[in-house]
Amino acid sequence: MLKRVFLGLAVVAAAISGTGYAMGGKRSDDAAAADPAQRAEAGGRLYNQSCYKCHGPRAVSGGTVPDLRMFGGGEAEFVSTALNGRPDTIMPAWKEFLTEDEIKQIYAYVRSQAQQ
Amino acid sequence: MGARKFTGLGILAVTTALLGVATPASAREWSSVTDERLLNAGKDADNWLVYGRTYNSNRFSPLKQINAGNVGKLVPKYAYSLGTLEGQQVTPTVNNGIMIVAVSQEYVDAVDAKTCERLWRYTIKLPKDIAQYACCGLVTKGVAVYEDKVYVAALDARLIALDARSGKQLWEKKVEDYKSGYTLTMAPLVAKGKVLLGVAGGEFGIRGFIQAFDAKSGDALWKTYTVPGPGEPGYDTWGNDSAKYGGAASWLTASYDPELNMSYWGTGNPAPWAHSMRPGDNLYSSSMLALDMDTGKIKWHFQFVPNDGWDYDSMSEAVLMDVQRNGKTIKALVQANKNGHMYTLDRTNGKFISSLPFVNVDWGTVDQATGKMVVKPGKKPEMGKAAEFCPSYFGGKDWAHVSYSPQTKIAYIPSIEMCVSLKDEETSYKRGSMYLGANGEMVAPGKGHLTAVDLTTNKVLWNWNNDSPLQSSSALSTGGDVVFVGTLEGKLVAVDGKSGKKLWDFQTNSGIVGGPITYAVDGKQYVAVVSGYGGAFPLWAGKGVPEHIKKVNRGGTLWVFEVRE
Repeated sequence: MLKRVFLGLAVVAAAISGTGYAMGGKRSDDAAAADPAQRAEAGGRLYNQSCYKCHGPRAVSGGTVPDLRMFGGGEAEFVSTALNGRPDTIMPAWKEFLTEDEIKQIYAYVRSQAQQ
Repeated sequence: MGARKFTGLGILAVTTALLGVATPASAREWSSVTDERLLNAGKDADNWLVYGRTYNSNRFSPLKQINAGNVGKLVPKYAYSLGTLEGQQVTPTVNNGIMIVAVSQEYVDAVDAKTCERLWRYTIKLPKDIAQYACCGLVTKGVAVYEDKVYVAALDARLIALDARSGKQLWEKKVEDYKSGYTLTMAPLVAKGKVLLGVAGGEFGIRGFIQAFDAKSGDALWKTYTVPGPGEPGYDTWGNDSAKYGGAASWLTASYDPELNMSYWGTGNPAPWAHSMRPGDNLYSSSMLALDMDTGKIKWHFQFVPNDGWDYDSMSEAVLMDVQRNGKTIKALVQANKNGHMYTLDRTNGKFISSLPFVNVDWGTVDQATGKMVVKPGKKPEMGKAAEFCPSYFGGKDWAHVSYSPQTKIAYIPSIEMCVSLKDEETSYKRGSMYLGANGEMVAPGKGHLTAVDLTTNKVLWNWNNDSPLQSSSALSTGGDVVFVGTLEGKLVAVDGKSGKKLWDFQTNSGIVGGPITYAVDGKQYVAVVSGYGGAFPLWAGKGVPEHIKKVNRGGTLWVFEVRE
């Protein structure tokens, strides 16, 4: 049950992240080959464009949507939730806006915030 | 035990159903909301016909059965569950004992304002992917009523007309393409047979506009962009070819002066937030616009925040009144801006009269000769370089509306004390995605106060303090010299309009982010508010959300109160 909740949260977060295509600076292709810190940084830009508007600045939830820093699932669950959305919630499917690798970068960013 | 319990519930359900059948139909009859009634709404104490109660957006009711002497005896008359977890930003409408409640972007309910019996429900059908394009949840501020119709601004940028007696849809008009980030969250303004709308979507790189539709047919009449096109005056204030996705959404209901034949619209932030990507003043973002009611032509403009880099969008309502200054009567327009200053303008021509900080403002000052912001070095975010400033991007006042009492000549401002650190970053436009180019973090949990400003002396009289920002619930002042406001904690609070002393409060089921109203049915005054936490604050505030607010449960409920002796 708890796992499902966190999955939902993750999806929401991913949905909020929006698309990496619009981000300026480094493209996701570059980030794919970058080290973990660079991937998290690129993920932060994607997060700000997509996830910020629901999951909050620096992935700090205000309480009405899941706090992504607490996401208990792994990367695969995070990606799946973000790509497909969470039906019957405000979490949309992001597959038309974000690639799988971009969502992985967002996941890296969220994990980096959880460790701060 | 389990079986007995369910049997009991079954009996209760059947009994309730039978009672429902046996209950006589509501005696309430819709009375046509004519132009004459709308123009004289100020004297029509029993009803709440316009979003701001009157065209001047004063949110003042002359009713005084409930007053400073007896407000302590206010008790719930009924609580009507709205069946939703979405944020409830609505200001209900009341006409002849019938209350229209827009239930987030899910339903529109008509209920008997005295008994809460539902008369009809209209279901707003939204596309499944709509949440992708909404900045702040599936919210609405309310509806508009005119003659025998109810007008709904649907989130997916449609204007819908309903039969006020049955709730049946009469027509709908597509206003814009929601997949380009255009949404509607406001209660429309109806005046002179027109329905006026402004779009939301300033975070998505839309090109803001205000549009008028024929109230009978829904036919489009005029359309005024809040960002100039090539060759138009003001286009040269957008460097780097940035006007195309310039934002400047007018997402709150306008005020209207019938004598001057002007409607007044605050405009939102320019897009993206990263100001260096759009060098120049960026007209007409973060401004006040006066539009000719018949043509939509811009009669004057006043820009509060040139080249906004703080998200100090200036969408807030224009509160209209006459004020006395230095022995002269001024046809004033007051706006409590997100930058923390309450501005007084001459609404005949847009001339700056004065400003007054009503919260902690650390970015600089306003030049009292010109009305221009004078910003301290280091107080504006730059590309890759953060700036810390107060108030935050939620503003000293967000969209929660001011109330002005012509009795006390005091403006009551729901206020926010919160600071943010914001840094700009490179971005590029992509249709349907957020276009911010910035990221921030609140410095500390926010607080709030209801601020009373004497408009004659332009001075703060008192503050009633609260442990969280008064971010979304509007103020309501009454002829009984009581001022009501809701809190994120979920309390509906009444304070003395002259002293600011708290007189009464009531803990509702959830956080309050909607506007309280008052009205009378069969000669008795009621106070109503919809409780239901949600909207932008918990989504965008992060560390600015006080810990105790994170414990607030969601759930929409209409509360109606009466004095019981």
